[in-house]
Amino acid sequence: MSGKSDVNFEALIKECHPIIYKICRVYSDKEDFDDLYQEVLISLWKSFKSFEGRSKWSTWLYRVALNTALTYQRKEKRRKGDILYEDAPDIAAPKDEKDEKEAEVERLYHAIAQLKKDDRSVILLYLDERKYEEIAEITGLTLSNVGVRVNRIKKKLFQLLSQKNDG
Amino acid sequence: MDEKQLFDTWKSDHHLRNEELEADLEIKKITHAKSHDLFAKIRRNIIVELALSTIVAIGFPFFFTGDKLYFWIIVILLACSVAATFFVYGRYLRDMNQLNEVSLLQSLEKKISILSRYVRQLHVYMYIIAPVSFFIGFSYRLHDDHIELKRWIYLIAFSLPFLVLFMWLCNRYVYALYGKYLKQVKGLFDDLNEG
Repeated sequence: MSGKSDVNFEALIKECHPIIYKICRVYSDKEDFDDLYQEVLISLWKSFKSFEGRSKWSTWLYRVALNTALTYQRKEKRRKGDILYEDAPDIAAPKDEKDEKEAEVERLYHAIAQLKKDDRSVILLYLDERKYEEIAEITGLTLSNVGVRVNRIKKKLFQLLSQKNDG
Repeated sequence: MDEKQLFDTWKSDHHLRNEELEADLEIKKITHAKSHDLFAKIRRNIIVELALSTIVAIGFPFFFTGDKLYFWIIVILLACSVAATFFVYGRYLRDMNQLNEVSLLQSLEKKISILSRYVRQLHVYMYIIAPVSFFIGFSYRLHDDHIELKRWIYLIAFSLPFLVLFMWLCNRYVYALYGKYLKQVKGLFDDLNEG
C-alpha cells in the first residue's frame, strides 16, 4: 500500500479486521470489547501516519494492536488479576453443527483467557500461523525462546481444554 | 482436541466476517476520537503543562516592570526554566512516539522507563518543591508581618499536619493513577522476558 489517506486506512482495517477482532477478543470480555477495539483502531491510526514500511504490514499491525491490548486498562476492576473469566462461559447444549462449532470457539477463547497476558500474545500469533521468525520480531523474544514458549503454552492450552471437556 | 482441530476452531469464528464491520467503521470517529490509554493522557498533560508554562513565562515578568533589573532577571530565569521544561518533556514525547515502532518487549521497557521517570518527577514536585514553596511563602509572609516567634511556632505546628496530609494524599493519588499501572507493566515485562 502506498500513500497515507483515510481511504487507505479504512481499506487496511477492513482487510485486517479478523486479526484485530481476535486480538481484542483474547484481551477483553464482552463488556470491554468495543472499548478495546476503539483503542486499537486509534493506536493504528496514529501509527499509520508514521509507518515507513520498514517491516511487513502484518508485523506492524500485530505489534501496534498487541501493544495496545497488552497494557489496556479496563475501566472497572471486575475480576481479580488477569483472569477474564472466573467461571466457564454459559454455553447452552449445541443444537446443531453450527452451534457446536460456536461452542468450541467459545471454549477456546475461554481457555486462552486463562493464560497469562504475555502467553496469549504468543499463542495468538502461533494460531494465526505466523512463522517463528515473525513472532520473534513482533514480541522481541529470541527465536529459540519462541519455540520453547510455544510448546509450553500449547501444553497448557490443551490441559485447559481437556479440563473443560471433562468438567 | 488435537493441534489440527485447534487451528480449525481458531479459524472458524463466524464473527470474523467483514460484513459486520462495514456498518460500524467510521473513520472520522476514529481519527477524532480521544484515546483513554494512560500514555495518551500523559501526553495531553504534558502538552497542557508546556502551553501553561509558556503563557506564564511570557506574562509573569510584566508584574515587575517597575524595576528593569528585576524584570530581566525574571525573564532570563523563566526562559531557562521553560527551555529546561521543553527539553525534559520533549524527551517524554519522543519516547512515547516510538512505543509502536519497536517489539512488544522493547515497548514495555520504554513504557516502564517513561512511567518511572514521570512518577519520580511527580514525587519531586510533591516532596521537595511543594514543601519548600510552602516554607518560603510562609516565612516571607510572617517576616513581612513582623509576627513574633511564639505565634510563628503555633502557625507552623498547626499547618504542618495539613502539609503532611497533602503530601500523603498526593502520594496515594499518584500511585492510583500511575504507580499501580507501572507495577502491572513491570509484571508483564518480567513475564515476557523470563527464560
